[in-house]
Amino acid sequence: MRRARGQWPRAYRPLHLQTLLVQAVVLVGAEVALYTSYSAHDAHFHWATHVLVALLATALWQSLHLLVAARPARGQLLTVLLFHLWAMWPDLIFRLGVPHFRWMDVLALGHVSAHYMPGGDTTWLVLALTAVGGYAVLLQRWLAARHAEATAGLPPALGIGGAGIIRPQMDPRTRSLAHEHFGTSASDPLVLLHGLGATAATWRPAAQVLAQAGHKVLLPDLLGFGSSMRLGTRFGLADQADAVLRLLQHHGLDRVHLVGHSWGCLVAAAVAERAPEQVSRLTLVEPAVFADPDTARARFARRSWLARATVDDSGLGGLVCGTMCLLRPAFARLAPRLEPDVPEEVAREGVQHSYPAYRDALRSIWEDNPLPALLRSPRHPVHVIVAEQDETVLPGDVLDLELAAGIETTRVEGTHALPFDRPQLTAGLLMSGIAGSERIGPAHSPSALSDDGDG
Amino acid sequence: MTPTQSDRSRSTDDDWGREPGRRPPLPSWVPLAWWAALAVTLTSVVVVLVRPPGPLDQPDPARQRDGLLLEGPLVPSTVTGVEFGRSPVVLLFDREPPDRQELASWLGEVPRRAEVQLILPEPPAALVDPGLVEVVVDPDGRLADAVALPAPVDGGPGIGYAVVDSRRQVRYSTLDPAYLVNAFEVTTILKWVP
Repeated sequence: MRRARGQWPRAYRPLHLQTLLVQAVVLVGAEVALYTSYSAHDAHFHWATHVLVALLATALWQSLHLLVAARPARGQLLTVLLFHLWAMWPDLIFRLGVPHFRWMDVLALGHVSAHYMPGGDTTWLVLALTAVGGYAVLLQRWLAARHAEATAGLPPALGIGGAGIIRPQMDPRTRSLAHEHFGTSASDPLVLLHGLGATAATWRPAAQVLAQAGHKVLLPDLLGFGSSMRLGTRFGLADQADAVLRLLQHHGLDRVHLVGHSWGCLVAAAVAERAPEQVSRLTLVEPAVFADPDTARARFARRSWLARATVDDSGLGGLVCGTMCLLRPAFARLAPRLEPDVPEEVAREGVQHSYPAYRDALRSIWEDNPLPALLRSPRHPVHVIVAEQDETVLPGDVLDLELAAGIETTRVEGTHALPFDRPQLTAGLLMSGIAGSERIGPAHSPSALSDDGDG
Repeated sequence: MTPTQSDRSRSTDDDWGREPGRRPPLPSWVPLAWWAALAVTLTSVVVVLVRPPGPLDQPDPARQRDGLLLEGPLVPSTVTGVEFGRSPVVLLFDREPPDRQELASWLGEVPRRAEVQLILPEPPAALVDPGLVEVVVDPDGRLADAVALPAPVDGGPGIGYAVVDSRRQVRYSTLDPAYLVNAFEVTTILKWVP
């Protein structure tokens, strides 16, 4: 359907001239009324002080909103009026018979002491114009970044916080995924794909084991995650698969053993579906697939209020994650303390992702999951590894699916952290898959392994 | 027809302007132009509307009519013949007697429980209606000193008012060259003092 003439996309609507004009008329009308409410000549500076404080507060709020939500806030001009009313409510209730008290400073943006600012309204004017100027520069940079993305033929990066606000996202068609490269052997190289909210660090311990055994291993950070955080503006499975295929092309790899962990299994499946000739076999470690997706979704949402907000895409998730984007360096330092059971680098890099990348990845698990179809009728040898103590992807969830007869399944002791909790075991299982197709066994007769030497 | 998931995604993307290559609908320099226009307008408004204090105003405008209920000093029981401590007292400070009608109107708005005194620095040339308000001549400014009435820009006697409660504590004291049009302020203060 064609967009109606003059109708702006939602993210840009707060900046629409007509919207701003209507707000400007309301604002000017209200300010004239407020100005005249200060009846005597010696009170007009009160009005000016509160307007300037309101303008300063508005500029700070709009800047914060842009930084956190990665798009302009609604009510660009009306917010000034709201803050002004907030700052001057003691004057309004004075008319109703309540004098000023010192505590009103706290609840009315410094209503009393704002007037004691050295330099008075001149100082407030300078401060307000500086703050608004800062916001204008931020907004200008945000628009310029979106223009740059359009020039590159990308969809605009709306909702991508952090540096993405003022720097354009890079084009994944011209720049490879950030990745680590282990080993030199050219035969049947492995590409290990990380899970949701993770990075290549998840696979690093297992990759080192594989490399020592002579295998060539690639560990990409998928679009929107880790060092690929500034890459791309869309994060659907198709976008991720294209990015992985471009990485293979970059390394001249015609055929690889694709390994996914959790959500990474969905990306592996999408790659195998898109370019089946480039995939020799698939290993799905704790694949994010569920016999009953609704139950699994509800189970995920119960993990925390943030998980629920993200599953519901309620806006709160974006707000919280936007705040975390803004404070990412601090969160990266804090993360290892919050997750003491996780290797430090995994915890630290776990915060390196954009909210849209995380949200779209999560959405793909519930809405576009290619794994059930792949497990019903695989076009490649497939090995599924599940962990007995996995509370994120229950082994039963995977094994109760309709699995094709040729799919090998392995149950091991462990949690939803096999790649870094038990790298020896995981690498061993991957190498046993490489060793030959003779290990492909019947479905629903899983082998159970526990002795791996991972400690 | 029920929209498919991909249809829904396209619709959402379109709503957000997420089509590949779609430019923002305004040039990036526009916010800076808005800021420049705002800076000129706002500076003009502040310069034109906010005047420096007049000769009868307080040098620091923040201290004039700040509306803040004070826990001020205690005044003696009697200062220049004005007795404190029986009921709230409103002292009106002026340089000459105000217009009779305006004063009567002002008095009509102020609660009757307060005692009102008009303080002048020298005897008035014309007699003030004694039934309207009691006039006290205070050439030395003792009452102004007792309630800490600030001095105006021109250095002369202050024009304004003070409210002293029935416990002789100063609760409000301000210059106000237009005090006769601001009776609501005295009314508000008197509601909160014993």
